[in-house]
Amino acid sequence: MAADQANNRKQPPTGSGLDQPVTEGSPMPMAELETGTHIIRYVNPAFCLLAGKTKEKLIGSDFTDLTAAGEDFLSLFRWVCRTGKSGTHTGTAHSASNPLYWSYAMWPVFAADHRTLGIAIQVIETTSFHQDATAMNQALLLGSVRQHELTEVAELLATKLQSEIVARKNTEAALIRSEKLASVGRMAAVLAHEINNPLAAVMGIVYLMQNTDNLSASVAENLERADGELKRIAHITRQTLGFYRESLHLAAFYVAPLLDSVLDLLKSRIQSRSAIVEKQCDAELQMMAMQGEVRQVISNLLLNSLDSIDSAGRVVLRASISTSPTDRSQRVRITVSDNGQGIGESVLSQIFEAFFTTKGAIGNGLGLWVSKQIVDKHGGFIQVRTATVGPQLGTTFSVILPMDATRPERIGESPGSDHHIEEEQ
Amino acid sequence: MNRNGINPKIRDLAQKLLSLESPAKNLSDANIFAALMVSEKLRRPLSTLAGTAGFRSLLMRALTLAKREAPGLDGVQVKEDGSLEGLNGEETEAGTVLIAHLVGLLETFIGEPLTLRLLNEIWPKLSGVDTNSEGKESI
Ligand SMILES: Nc1ncnc2c1ncn2[C@@H]1O[C@H](COP(=O)(O)OP(=O)(O)O)[C@@H](O)[C@H]1O
Ligand SMILES: [Mg+2]
Repeated sequence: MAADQANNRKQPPTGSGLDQPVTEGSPMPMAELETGTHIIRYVNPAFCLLAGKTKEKLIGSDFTDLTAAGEDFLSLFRWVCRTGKSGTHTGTAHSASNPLYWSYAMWPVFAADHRTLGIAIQVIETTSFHQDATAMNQALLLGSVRQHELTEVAELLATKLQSEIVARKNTEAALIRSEKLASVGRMAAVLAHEINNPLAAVMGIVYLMQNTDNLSASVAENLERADGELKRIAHITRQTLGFYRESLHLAAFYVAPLLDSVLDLLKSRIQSRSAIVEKQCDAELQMMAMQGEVRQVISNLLLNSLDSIDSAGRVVLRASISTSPTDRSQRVRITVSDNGQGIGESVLSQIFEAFFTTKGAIGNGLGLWVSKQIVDKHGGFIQVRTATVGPQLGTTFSVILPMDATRPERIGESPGSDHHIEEEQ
Repeated sequence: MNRNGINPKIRDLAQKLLSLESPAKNLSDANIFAALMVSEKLRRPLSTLAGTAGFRSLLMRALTLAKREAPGLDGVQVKEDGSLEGLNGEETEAGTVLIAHLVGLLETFIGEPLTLRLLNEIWPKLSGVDTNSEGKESI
């Protein structure tokens, strides 16, 4: 056998066991190998075509030198040699990016005396893909995956954008709302201002009529009623923009008498609440401001304090000089301090908004808003300290104004905030 | 899209494929092992059809999507030739999630009929598998 093999390696195909008239014309690539050595002994033209080599080149060469034959091939080959059975296999020819797959059948070729002549191989099928088609599919698939990723990114961005739009719309709505409220507040103040003049005139007329001689009882009673209603109107306008007459110019004045005038004005209110109101103020303290407006602010704060207390209510009204920690300029600090119910956290952030009130129909929510406008105009600021529980229960509003409002630089303690809210619980 | 989870039909399909590749023994990482087999069996025909790079990008995308749902896949990577690396662990769901995304992407890209034809060619027994019994076991 060894001699046979040595011979065949150099000789043209003579010893093939395959029926050559059949195999030569077959479109299926076929080859016959020596048992043991897998040296090619015969190939048909179809095989040459597949391998891309001539018959002369192929015959006598080792089949495993062809790229397609790997470890899988060898084990099948050995198995066929050993068992004499036939087998099939699907193998890969690894060529860089486009692998070629091929299936083949392998069986022993026997001589008449049952001696094994060789091993026949027939290639059943090759995946003869055009490289172009594969490359195109690959490009399409890569593109699809990329598109898939991009779609996701786009969707993510769209969602983000959506929520940003919503957030922006909300802010915008809040802005519009507060701006609307502010302008309505301004209008109310202007109206009150306009009403005050004719109102004062009508009240004067009623007063004159009340003091006419020989009034019938019913006329006197009606005039009394008219006077009562007019006073109600006056009270309402005072709450928004009272004392307008004095508010038109800056003047120097003593603070203590101003506090007295407020206490006097609200005397009946203080009595009806049976509140204890204490005044602490240096008699010599003077300031330069719009007197009527400052009185308006103090009156608004005092009214709120009176609203917040019940029995054993106590309100302290205090005015004193203070010095700016930043520029050493002189200021007047006016505080209105009560031991009332205090202001809850959620309410606190809104108290300076126009029309914000927790008092239902009896409140108008303009007192603090107007006060803040006035203090702003004077270049001052308002501080709030409040507690709804504990020994410090109650609220202190402090109004800090420049001692001389003719120098209207703002005196806010921290830039960008014109009122300060401090809370103690 | 897939971000909001896998559609149940595709999940079922993935479960079927895994059940066909489940090792006979009840291993703790059977799900992962089966996923590896499924991916490997898909690799050959898909690489032939669409190139190694094509299959690889498909698998990498599926892995990216699956990692968000199955932290157990964190160490897993796709090698240059499109095979999976670092797939181990005992998380029962990870394999299913990965294969579901792989099949899901295929459906998205080449459509359901072609996907099913491809799967049926690789797993001729696919159409006869009862998912429910398998599903209960591993979910
Ligand atoms: N001293 C205070 N104690 C408790 N709550 C107060 C005090 N001052 C103001 N508030 C709260 O601030 C809100 C707004 O006050 P304000 O603008 O004067 O309007 P109004 O007094 O008409 O309600 C009040 O409704 C109240 O809830
Ligand atoms: Mg008020």
